[in-house]
Amino acid sequence: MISRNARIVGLIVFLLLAALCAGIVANSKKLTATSVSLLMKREAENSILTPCSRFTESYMQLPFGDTNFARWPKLYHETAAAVIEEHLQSFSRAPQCAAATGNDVLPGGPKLQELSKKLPSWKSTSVSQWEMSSVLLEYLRAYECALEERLYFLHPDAMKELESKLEAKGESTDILLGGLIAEVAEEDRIIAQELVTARPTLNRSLAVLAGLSRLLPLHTELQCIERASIDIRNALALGAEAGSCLPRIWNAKDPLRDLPQ
Amino acid sequence: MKRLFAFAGFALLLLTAGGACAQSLGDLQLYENMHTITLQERTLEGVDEQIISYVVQLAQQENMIPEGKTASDMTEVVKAAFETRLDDFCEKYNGTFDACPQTYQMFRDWGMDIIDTRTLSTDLLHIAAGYETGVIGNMGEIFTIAERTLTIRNLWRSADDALLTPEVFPLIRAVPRPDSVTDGMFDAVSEALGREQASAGSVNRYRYGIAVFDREPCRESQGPNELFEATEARNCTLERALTAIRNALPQDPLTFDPPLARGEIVIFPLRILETPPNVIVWMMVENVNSEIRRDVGLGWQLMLETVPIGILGGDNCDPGKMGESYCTVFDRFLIRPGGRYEDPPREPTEQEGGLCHLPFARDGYLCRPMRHDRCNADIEDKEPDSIVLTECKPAQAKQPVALTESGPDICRTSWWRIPSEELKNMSPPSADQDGPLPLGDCALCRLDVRCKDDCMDGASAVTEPKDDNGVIHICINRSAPRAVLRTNLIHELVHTQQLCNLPPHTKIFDTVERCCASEMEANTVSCRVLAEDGVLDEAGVSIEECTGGLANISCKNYGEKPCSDLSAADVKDKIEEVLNRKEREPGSNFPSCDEVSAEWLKGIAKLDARIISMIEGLNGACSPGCQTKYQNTIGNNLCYIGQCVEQSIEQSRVIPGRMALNVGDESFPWDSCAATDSLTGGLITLPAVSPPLTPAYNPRLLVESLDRALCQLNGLPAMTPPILCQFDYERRLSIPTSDYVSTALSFASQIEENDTPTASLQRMTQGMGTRIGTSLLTRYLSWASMALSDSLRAGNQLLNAMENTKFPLSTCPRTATEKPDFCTASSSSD
Repeated sequence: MISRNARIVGLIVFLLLAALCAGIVANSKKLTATSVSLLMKREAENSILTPCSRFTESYMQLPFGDTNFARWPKLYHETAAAVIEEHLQSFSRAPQCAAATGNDVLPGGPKLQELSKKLPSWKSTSVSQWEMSSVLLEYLRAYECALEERLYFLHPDAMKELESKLEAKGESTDILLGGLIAEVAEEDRIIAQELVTARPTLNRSLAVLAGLSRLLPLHTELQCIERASIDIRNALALGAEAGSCLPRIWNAKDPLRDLPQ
Repeated sequence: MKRLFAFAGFALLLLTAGGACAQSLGDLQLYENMHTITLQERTLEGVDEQIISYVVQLAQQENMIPEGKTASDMTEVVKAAFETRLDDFCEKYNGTFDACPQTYQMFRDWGMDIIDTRTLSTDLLHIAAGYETGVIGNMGEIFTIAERTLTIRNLWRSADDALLTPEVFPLIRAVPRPDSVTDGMFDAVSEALGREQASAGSVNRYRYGIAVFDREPCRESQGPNELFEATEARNCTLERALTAIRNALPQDPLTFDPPLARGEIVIFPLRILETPPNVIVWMMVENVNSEIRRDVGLGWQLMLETVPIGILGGDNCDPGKMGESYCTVFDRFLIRPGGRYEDPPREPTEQEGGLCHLPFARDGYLCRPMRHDRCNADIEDKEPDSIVLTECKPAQAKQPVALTESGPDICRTSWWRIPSEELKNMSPPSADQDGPLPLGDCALCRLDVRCKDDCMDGASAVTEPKDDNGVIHICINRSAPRAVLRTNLIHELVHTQQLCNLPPHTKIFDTVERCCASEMEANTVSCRVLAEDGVLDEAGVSIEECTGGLANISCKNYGEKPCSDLSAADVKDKIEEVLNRKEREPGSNFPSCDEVSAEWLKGIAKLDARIISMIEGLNGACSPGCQTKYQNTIGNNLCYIGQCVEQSIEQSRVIPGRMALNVGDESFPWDSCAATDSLTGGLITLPAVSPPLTPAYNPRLLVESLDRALCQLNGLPAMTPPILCQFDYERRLSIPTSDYVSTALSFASQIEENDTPTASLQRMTQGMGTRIGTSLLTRYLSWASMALSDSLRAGNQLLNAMENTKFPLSTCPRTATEKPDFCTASSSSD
């Protein structure tokens, strides 16, 4: 015979399950693509505060995959170097003086655009060259997250990496303990080195660029003012051409004055 | 009329300014360089030989080299330590593991320490390079702010603007590189730089040019590659290559068109060297008191090649300065513990221009003395208890500062005009010629300049009223000091311009009002020239004092101080004293009046090319059939348009008259039909120039946001004070685990537990800080550029209004007896 207490507990559990099912049925409409996109939108707006796992949708386009760890540092540093070099080259790029907004005056270069599209803050918006520092710092954060994550799952990830390496060489994918330990040690060394050097490297670069970049708006404005000045000068030169006829116009219309011979 | 659009000058200036832009910057490898520095600093990877030698010599000083080992043996030992080969290190060091790890770590620590110090200096130099590039006036840097500012100024300026500007700006012109400067010369510079190990030092060394080394013969010196010592070392091969370029630059002011004016600077297009990357060669020519000075130097596009601090060797140590113990180490072991900068290289001296040697730097506020023509420097402290830092005096002029017959006579001084070829190529005026200047029939007067033994009452120069033939005679006294010839001639030419449009025998000094107005106007011009020469600065006289003081002397017949409140007692003496001193200086080259007459063009050019422009200016700019030539700038175009409008209104009737048929007929019946003045310009409100506001920074809000983030990271609600959210180090002590071992292990791993949120916070904070900073800058700039954009908008409105001007379609009838129909038609069309 079932005790009274047990019946009461069973009833409560049943009611709870019923309520849960009812809740799921009632709210089923909210679990749609719209709500997912809304969540993604909110994530994009506040991306700086989101976790930056490489397994999340927002950061999946970055080149830090499961089986290419050996190339991570090279990919990261090459991209950062290319964006910084492009930024320096942008000082000699002609600005869009007729742009409607300040951000469009100096749009981001191809490298910056390509990188920013892989980061949540700029996925759906254009990037300006002014925002180079923000993009690179966000890229660095994602890189460090990826490194930390790799460190957390180092052994299984190292095994995958080793398998792919052996597969690429056309060798057997049977993993020996010695090989795994060597791979783990190497990855651990790289992760430690990257975590220690990546941020100071970018900080040093940005310290130089911060000084330079503060003049970039002025430099850009001056180029636009210079071009506008040339336009004004040419318009006034045409005015002067027309003005040169002034005395003759009046002389020709004035019957009391003889033209000089 | 034929005008010459002198595009060349400014197009070339743009070419020069954009020189760095036309070519892409070399591969600067900023990030790669920083990565290498960081790897060295953090992991001792790729450490250079200097650091290894430093550690070896430090070990020697500390008696840590085992017996039987030499310093060269130790090099491999230190390398092993730096490359984390502990086993190898111990085997090579003393063949035993006894105390070896400690020594291994000590060597690594020494390396780390000196790299830290060196990296700090490198970081500071990099940061300084980032902040200084583009604003310190060096030529050829990636930011062409100085060049573009100059280009914009040159696009807007008229030469006559100088008369209204309180500051004396250096006159800078850009011209194409002469053919005599060949590509091979730059290759020689590249080669000389490439040959030297410390090319960075050489670029720093010759950044002010090679002229400063002319007095000291070149001696090759070999020194360690370090900051300041390397920049003191001279590279004779490089100096020869640069001197070859300098010698190929023009040295005659008349080579330039228009001739190079006194004080004017010519810059040539920069040359970006292929090797070493990121280095440019600049060239300039300057007219200093009619003497041409040429200079060539080097510069960086972006100074990233920092020269490290000295850590090894060097000159003798000064115990008084450095301390006994330091010098002991320095002398015995040839190291500089902790690294050391030597004294910085000598800057160009004051005579060589000092920091203001380069043309763009000369334009900076440090190099541009404030002139007190608006505000007198002598402050009278009226209240004994008050402290007066500066005081503006009321206008000193007691009479009009200029009078014209009709209209403002815009740009009458005519510095904006380029003299015609006929005027420049004419023979020198002979004694029997009567008023030969200017040529042709475009002027209402002609000019006759004569050198005489005595002018009126011993005056140094006199202008007589126009005679019946329309000739104005200028007398220059031969006995007057040569140094004042130019100023006198310019002064008298202004009087000629005042007299030119007036009827013969009109006097312009016959009343106190006319005398002061005529003299003040002429003095404004001649005192300006004295200010540009630095005479007024040297004499301690402001332009305002010069203008008013000399006018008082010229019009002394009308009493004491008739024109200006300023005291004239010693102004003239002070100026004359400076001019006489300049004349007596060795190497001074002031021509006499007769020499100028004999050698017309060269003589005038020695005095001032603007004198010919002033003579040319006697011709009406807009007279039909006459030629006017000027550089195509906004200011010059406005001068020309203004003179055309004035000439039209003053010499022609804008609304014509008619032939009257009867005595009582109206000659000008259509004056009443004149369209209403649209007053376009008067209705445009220009924005008030106000300093830009710094946007709200709200640091407290930002810090509070950070505090909240800190609490979130540690899984806590926001707490006050936020420090409570910090990791609690005593947590494990207050909540111990079941056994001591696990408690101890947990306690030991707390550091890591704390590291994670700290690292997260650091990563997040930098990203957030950058975004906040960018947003602040954007808001600041949008405010700061508002006044400029409003001004441009107003200019745009004015141009649109000009474009929309409607002209009547029908002309006035010659012999109309009735009010013509076009009158109402034109009114309605307007």
